[in-house]
Amino acid sequence: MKNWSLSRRLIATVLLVETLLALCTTGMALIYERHQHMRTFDVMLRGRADSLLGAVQDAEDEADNIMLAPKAIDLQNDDLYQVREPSGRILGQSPQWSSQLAGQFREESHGHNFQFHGHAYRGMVLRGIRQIDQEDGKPGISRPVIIDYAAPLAPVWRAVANAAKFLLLSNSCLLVVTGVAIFILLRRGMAPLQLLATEASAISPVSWEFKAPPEALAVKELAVLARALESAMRRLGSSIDQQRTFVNDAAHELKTAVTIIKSSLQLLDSRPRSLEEYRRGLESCLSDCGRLEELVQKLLTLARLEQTAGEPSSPNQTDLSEGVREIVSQLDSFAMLRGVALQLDLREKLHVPLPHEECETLIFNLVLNALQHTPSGGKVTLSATEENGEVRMTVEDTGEGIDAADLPFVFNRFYRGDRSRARTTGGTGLGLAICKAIVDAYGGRIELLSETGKGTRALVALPAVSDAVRLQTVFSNGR
Amino acid sequence: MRLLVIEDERRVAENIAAALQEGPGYAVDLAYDGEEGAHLAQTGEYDLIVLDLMLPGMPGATVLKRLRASGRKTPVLILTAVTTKASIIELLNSGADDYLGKPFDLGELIARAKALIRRGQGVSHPILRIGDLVVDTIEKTVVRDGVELELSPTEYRIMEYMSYRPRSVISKQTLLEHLYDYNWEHHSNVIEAHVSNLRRKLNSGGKPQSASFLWLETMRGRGYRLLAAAPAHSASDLSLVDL
Repeated sequence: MKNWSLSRRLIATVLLVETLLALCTTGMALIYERHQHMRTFDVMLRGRADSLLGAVQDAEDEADNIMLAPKAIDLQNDDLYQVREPSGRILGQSPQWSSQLAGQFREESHGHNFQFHGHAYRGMVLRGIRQIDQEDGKPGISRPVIIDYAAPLAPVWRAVANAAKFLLLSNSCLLVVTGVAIFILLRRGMAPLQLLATEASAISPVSWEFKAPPEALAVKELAVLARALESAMRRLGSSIDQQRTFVNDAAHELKTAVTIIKSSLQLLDSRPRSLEEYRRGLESCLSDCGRLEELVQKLLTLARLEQTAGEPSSPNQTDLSEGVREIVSQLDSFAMLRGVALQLDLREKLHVPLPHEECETLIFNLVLNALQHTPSGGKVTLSATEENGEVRMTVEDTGEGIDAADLPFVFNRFYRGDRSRARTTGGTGLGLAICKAIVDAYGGRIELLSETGKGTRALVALPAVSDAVRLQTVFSNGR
Repeated sequence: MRLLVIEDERRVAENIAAALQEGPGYAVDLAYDGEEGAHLAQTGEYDLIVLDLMLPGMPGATVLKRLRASGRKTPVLILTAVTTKASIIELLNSGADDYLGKPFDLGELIARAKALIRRGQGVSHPILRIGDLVVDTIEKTVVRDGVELELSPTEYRIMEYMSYRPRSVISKQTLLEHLYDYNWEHHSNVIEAHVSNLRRKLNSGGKPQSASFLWLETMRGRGYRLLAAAPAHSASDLSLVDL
């Protein structure tokens, strides 16, 4: 996709809008200007016509002939005028007057424009009364007189054109100033964004440290983005750190397992030994390999469960009570061997949304853990029931319990309350971590309560699959 | 030579101990956690300490720091799964003498242990010479005038230990401490018998007057010392037990 500049687009938009506005206001100003000029022009025309009327008064002679001497009157040379009587008698005319003009004059409240010899004129008609003075104090005779008066419009158009020029010039200046101002403002405004980008580009798989620059946090609009980035990086960083710790721990465990096997074999090979010694050495190496295999298996299980965690719940479902029975039959002989009683308290048909394998792993790990930490003569009780739409399973033992200091960490990977003991029982330190991963992946909860010397109780709560959903699934599977 | 192995993984610890006992014939003490290891390291007489870093109770690095803070100069060989440059530099700077990354090679571990022990004794060559006596600490042989002496393992160990310190007086207690692990019942007369046998084998056929005569002196109440030439002090000071 072609990328575009926000600031350029913004500047272009603002300038366009401003240009349109400037054109509108200029247009309106010019219309108003013209209107004003025309009115002024009309007043001027009237004034000139009036002064013409005055001149007419003066210019009469005894014979009632009016002689208009244009030079005698203070009128513009290029004005057109004609003085007539309603009867049609012409009393006087301007030098340029032409008969063609007769039709151009109309009686209106304001002036009107026309063309004459290619020039624009504005004219008006003025009615007046001419007093013919009587001698010897007798009242004079009033005679109506009509004055057609027109003057060239060129000065008006010049003035309007000048105004237009001025407006255009000032608006152009304004546009340039606005453009530059927006550019500078945007640049300044964008500077924190640049800082933010620089900071963000420093993020690498090695360093997830992200500290939003204070300049970016000071901008209200950017602060949201900066904070979001900060918290996202924090979460990503801590998840990466967790992964790294896990990988390091896993590497350490694997290296230790390999060290055991390697050193055992090298020791066996360091000098000639008896057949019996070789046989025992190989047997122990084989069992060490088994432990390594189990470790790898569990690591893979954890990795798989973590991928499942993000996905929507699968249509899988398992009867937990069946799973419990299965595991108990598997571990029965182990419990007998250890002299631990294994008791069951189950409700039938407890459907949970877990795949069969995961369900069995969960139960197996919990029960094995309880059995391993319960001395001979002790008891492990397994109970499961459904309550408030939840399947609740409890694994309770009468073992040595877990130290209060260790309790918060028991679900951590590779955590062993007592390392040397865990080793002798073959523990990888992953069993409970896997339980937690399973329960988390399928929207459940797991909790461990313990009292040193008295025993431990593991509580698992999983969402129950309702009968309706179950039947539906069975039906769709059946088809 | 007596070594201390501090390693929480029992199988690894036992394999190392077995290799060190079977190969170079060292006495080995084992500690499975940091606390016990630190205690043994500071109280026992060891010629080398093999120290794992990841330990329950107390981390290996702390054990090392405590040992050095207490003024002990015992060489320390570190076993670690983390062999990043930074961690190695940190370890060496806090007083470790060498390190081995896990999973390590037992042969390499033994070779490094031998080298560190040599250095700890102030010697760089694995073959020790006292007069015309040649003690090969790699092959575990003692050769005199081109003739290999047939020594029992304990006799060889006494010979090796004393060859590292010719001309100095070594007490029976020191010999006991450096030749046996803590499971051994200490009986000083065992040492006396071994030294006596050793002395006999060393000079079989030789004359005290000959230039190549080797003196394994018994200094009453003080211990033993190994000399390549006749001692300069008067006969009353020393008692030469039957040759």
